[in-house]
Amino acid sequence: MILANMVAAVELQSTGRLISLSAPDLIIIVAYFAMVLGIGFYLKRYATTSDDFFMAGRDMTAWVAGLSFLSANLGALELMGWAAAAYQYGILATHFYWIAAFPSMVFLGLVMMPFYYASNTHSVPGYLQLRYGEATRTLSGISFAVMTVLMSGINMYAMALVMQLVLGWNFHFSIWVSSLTVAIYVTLGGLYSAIFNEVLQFFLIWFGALSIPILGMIEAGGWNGLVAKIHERVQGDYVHLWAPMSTFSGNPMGVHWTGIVFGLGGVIAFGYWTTDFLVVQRAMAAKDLRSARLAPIIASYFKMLVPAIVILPGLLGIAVLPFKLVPANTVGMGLHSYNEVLPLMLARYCGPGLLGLGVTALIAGFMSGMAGNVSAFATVWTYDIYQPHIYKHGSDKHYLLVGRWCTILGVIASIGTAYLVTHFRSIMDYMQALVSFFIAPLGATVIIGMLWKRATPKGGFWGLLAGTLSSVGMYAVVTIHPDALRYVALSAQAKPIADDLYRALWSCIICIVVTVGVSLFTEPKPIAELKNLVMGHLSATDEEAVPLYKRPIFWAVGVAVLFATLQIVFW
Amino acid sequence: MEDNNSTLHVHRAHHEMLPVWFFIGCLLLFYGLVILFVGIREFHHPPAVVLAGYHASLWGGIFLTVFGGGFTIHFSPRRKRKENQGASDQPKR
Repeated sequence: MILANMVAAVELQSTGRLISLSAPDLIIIVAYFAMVLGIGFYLKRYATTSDDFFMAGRDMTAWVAGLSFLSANLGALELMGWAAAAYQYGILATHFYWIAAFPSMVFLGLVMMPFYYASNTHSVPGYLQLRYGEATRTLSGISFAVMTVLMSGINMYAMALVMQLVLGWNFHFSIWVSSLTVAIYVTLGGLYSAIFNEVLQFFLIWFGALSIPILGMIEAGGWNGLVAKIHERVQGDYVHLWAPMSTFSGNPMGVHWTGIVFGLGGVIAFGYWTTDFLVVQRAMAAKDLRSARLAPIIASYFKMLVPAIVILPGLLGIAVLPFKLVPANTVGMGLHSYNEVLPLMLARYCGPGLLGLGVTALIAGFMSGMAGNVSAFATVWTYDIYQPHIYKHGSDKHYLLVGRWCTILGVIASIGTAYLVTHFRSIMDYMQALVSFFIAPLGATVIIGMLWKRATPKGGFWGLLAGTLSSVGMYAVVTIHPDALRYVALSAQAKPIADDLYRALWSCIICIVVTVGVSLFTEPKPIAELKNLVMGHLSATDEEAVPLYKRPIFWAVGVAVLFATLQIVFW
Repeated sequence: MEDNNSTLHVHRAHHEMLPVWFFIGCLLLFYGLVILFVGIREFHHPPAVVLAGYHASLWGGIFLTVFGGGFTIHFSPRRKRKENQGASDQPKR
């Protein structure tokens, strides 16, 4: 029925679509939907306990957990948003893949994962309950649940928008087909299903999008040809990472290097990659501590390579498209927005078949993000809100059932959010604002809790609350009085993206100051209660006799070398 | 269900399920064959895309067929059963 409706929707394409699909393309898309649903039905038999459903039986290998860790992050923003950002800001957008990923992912693997894993908790709010108490868990659980539903709604909205713009599919139909598919396969197989499909989607995203950079570089004449063409077409430095960042006005993004290093790489990235349960849940599902530590490090290698299929198409769009793209709010007749650069490039190079694979890659990216949010939402809602506050002494089967219902409710809430997002100014700003509201202070709270045994339950709670409220407050002030941006970002020349970075930085600083200040005047937890929760009191270890090349530190050094090399090459 | 590190038992199921790589192999093999067929057809009906002369569909189809086929064979349940059978048939030392 769903597939029949999909075909009917294709037949109802509007005249403004960018791409026309042929029979092979439709076969490829239909096969994808059949496979993800088939995996869901196959895995239902294995999701028989709450640990199976919420933690995938803690049975995943490092590779599966690692690819799933990354794939859960390859949502709407990654594929469409950052290709658009690359067209708008040039190679500077790559900072969001490199400095915003490698240090924090490696830190998670080497330093933080032993605490998450050894504490035997089911979630990041669960860790906060053990470390700081119930109040902090509830605050972070509720804020996380709100954030995941909003994020999921963004994914849905973006996917429906893409299907409408690119293929001419009905906006509402796209939302309902994708969300029902995700609801079915996650409800059936839980985290097993989400992880399996995320790894599948990882391959589809890569193979579907890879034809654009390969053919694009051939057309542009290699990297030197690409740079020459960009210089012919636009003013400003679009091809260097750090050289133009000594001033706010010297680069298209309007950000100073301090904002990138401290705001993005130091606060937002650490907050997101180390405490966002959406991604951390995948690593926690690993079969042992060494696999759990390796998972984010393996993911960091592929994260470093993602710009090849996201940023490079944006740069190629500047160089080879015969027309200029414009901001979404100025699109008129015959004009295309930045957000359309990826599908435009896909249509430029891919004939039938490859085009279907590329469109499937987009759908897979959107659905993996949505599934990741929904499965994490179900876990946090069940373990951190429902179980401690609504029904404490249920059976395992009861919580398994609650998890399945939460998945469905999460999808319904996401659909509602998707319709709300249609009135928001842009996907990217919305996502960044959300991240700085919740993630930046949460990251500070968790990291302080792991590294400083003197941090108290009251310090953790008030620090997290102060950081979150200050971030919302700064956002509200700048929205009402745009001139206030000069105070938040420390420059009158700062652009909105700098606002997000500096707001995250300030909210993190406020969180740290309040946490430390309150902790110094309140009673800390006894040392006996901090076992496996704080540095210096960790009993778990993965230092068994394995060869050097199997150790997390070995791979962490490798990715550090890769990171340093890329910074120097594109400096 | 309690998040209490002194009482919580971590359940490790170690289910004997089909590996995810097998599903990936099957889907990519199918995609490879479809795209390879399209790629061969494009010699007579070239698509209206830039760089059509490079026959991206043909090369993409070959790559996906080989990659997907390799995964499908390597991770097929039949092969695993044979391996397990071979191991159990060997005399124990």
